[in-house]
Amino acid sequence: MPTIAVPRDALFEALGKTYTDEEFDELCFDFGIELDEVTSEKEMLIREMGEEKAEANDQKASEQVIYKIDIPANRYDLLCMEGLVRGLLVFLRKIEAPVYKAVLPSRPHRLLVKPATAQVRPFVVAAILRNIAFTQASYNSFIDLQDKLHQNIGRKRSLVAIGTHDLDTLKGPFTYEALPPEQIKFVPLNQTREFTAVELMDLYSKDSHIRHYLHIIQDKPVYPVIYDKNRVVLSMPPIINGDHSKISLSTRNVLIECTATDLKKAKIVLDTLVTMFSEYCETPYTAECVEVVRADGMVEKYPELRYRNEVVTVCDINRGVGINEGAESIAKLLTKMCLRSQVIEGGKSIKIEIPPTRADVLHGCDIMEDVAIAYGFNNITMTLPKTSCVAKQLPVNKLSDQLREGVAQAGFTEALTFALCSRDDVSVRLRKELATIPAVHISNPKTLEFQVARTTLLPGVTKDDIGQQEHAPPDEAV
Amino acid sequence: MVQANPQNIEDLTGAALAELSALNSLEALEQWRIAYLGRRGSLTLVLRGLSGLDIEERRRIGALANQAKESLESGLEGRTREINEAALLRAAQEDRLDVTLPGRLLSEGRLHPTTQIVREICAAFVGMGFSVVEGPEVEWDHYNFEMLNIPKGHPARDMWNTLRGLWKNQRPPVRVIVPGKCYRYEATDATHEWHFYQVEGLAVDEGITFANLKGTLYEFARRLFGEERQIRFRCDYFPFVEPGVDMSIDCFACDGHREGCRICRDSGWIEIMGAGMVHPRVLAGVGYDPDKYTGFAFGMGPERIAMLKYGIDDIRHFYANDLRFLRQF
Repeated sequence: MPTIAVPRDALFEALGKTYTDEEFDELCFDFGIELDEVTSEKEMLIREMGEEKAEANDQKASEQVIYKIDIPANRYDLLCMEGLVRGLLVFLRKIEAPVYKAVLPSRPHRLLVKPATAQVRPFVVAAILRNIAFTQASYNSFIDLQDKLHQNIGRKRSLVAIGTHDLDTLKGPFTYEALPPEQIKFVPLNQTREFTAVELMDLYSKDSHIRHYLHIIQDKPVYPVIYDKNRVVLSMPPIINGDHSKISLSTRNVLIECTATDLKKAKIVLDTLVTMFSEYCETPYTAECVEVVRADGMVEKYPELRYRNEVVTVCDINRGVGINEGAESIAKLLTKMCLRSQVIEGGKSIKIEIPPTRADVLHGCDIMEDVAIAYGFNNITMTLPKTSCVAKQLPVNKLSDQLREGVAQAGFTEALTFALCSRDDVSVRLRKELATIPAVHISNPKTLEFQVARTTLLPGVTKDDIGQQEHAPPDEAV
Repeated sequence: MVQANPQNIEDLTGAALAELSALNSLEALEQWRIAYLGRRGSLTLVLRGLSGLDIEERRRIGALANQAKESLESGLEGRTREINEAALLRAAQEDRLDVTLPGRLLSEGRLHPTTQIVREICAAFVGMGFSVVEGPEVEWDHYNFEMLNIPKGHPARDMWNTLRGLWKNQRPPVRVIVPGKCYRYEATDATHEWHFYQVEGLAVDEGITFANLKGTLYEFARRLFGEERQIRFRCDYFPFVEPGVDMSIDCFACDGHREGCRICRDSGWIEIMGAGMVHPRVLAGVGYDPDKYTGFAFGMGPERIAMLKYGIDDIRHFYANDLRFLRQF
């Protein structure tokens, strides 16, 4: 479950109300998220580096209170403060959910995809945020959200990687290409000289952060790269952006590109970034389309920001949740969850508009969940299932239970052991040749203690330093 | 051979009895018996000598010899009794029973705390009509993930283990509880172990609702943690259930006082399991008609439950096999 850190005072200011920790905890609970920890930048620093070092860093770390909040893994719309505040305000009925728009200018920017990208990272989507005004806080939040999306839905950048650029430093049209690494050469983010892609892989192999992403393209014959009209490198996804187009606090027009091995997820990531941060655009909640010209010549427009409708019967919802609510009441509950709803068919069904922020709503049961949250899981009356079942134990479990019982009564203490052990445990220590043991070997053991699946149970017990005392053999027959 | 005359018999008897009275052990008595009364004993030989005498002599001396034999035998018997009694008396004096001494410790057997808690959990559900079944140790990727609505590359693949079991062979109503070992690719610390137990459960039937899930798990929580326990649910995400929740019980350690409570970390609530309504796609995946059937599923870590119940602070104790730990349960 991802955790986001938000400064408390800014959060309360955005919510238009000051809460006590308990009150805010309660609100989170009702909304289906969790206030995990109340801390501060300084406390976090102390925990990370120890008191002394943190003291030395004192200047930087503030004592400002930070809320750490756990977000369900599929709620990408709550992974930044902007989205959290919006969701809570709609939930509290202080605002209505905004309507997100993608506008197509008369001469849209184009991003041309070259066929070679199919060999390494076939998809790209892009969008532009026009006339945005960042503050230090919103800028940080923008960077944080990208990181959260990379880690979660982007599966550590393997599925989706994001690049954001100062559009005013670039000139379209852009091309998404895949080239042999030695042919790619540019100044990467926060460096002062050019590196080839080969050199970059070497440079970042020592970087504690970036080295984890190198394997995604390392062994490919070609590496993905995005150029502008003047062959300025925007990024070499999923590794690093170019320094030339890096964004800053003063950037006004942001080009967002997402390259991917999974197109659907790339669209969700792009929609999420755009819906969250278009809030700071001159025309809020509006993004400018970029045309992506696929290798086969098809032209697609992004961001999609698609709204779709689902119809669910009142009866199904009541039946699944185990409540008995009227259509109007259910529609109201759903609207609180950013799912604008209206009663149709004379109260028999509800039509629900799924906004682009709610990529997690795929199925009728997802809608049922939002009804249950808004109604309050804890307000649902408890009942037991109406049918009865005759329960029994599997014979083998019964036997093993009886054996345990009998052996324990004879004075043996039951011990449970790990399913893995070292090679020596099943061979040398038992005076046997490893070659004669039909053990399942772990090909990449993390420690010397766990190299093979155990072939016998007792080595796991005897290796602990309690040799002369009595034991029951571990319970599990393998 | 000693001649069988009255003088000899008298001398022999006198010497034997004198010797006897000086003996102090049963072994010495046996030596003495062999020397006088054994097959080649002195008196035995005298008796054998009687055969060479005429009838008159034989009758007279024979009677004397028989008397001598009887007196030796009764002397032996008496001396044996005396020695035994003396030994008994000595034993009674020397080995007197001291009832104040501490008793000798018998080794006591124990079931592993995980076994105990798994049994307690299963018993609670068996009481509500759940059958106990066990899945295989190793699952095909297909059953473990694809079938549970977790596509390749989904973040939730890391999150929860599975409802393994016997889906395919059972038709609703299904109510099963599945205890088993799980393995997770995870760094170990005080609350994480790569190898642990899990107890998962599933109920599928027509008309199973979220309210049923609440009712069932509420009964369970009260069975394990006390009749007065309260529960609460918060939404959580597991891809194979929708809605997904986690369930907490009110803290039994601080009873709502919170301040400084190590168990609930001042929150007043302790999370004990994940649960939810089985995703319709999961039901369809095993051939149950999702329009007809609904179900709920739940899963919990018995080690965590045991840690809460018994105040164990480190999950790594469970597999360290330290008897000082194991014998406390």
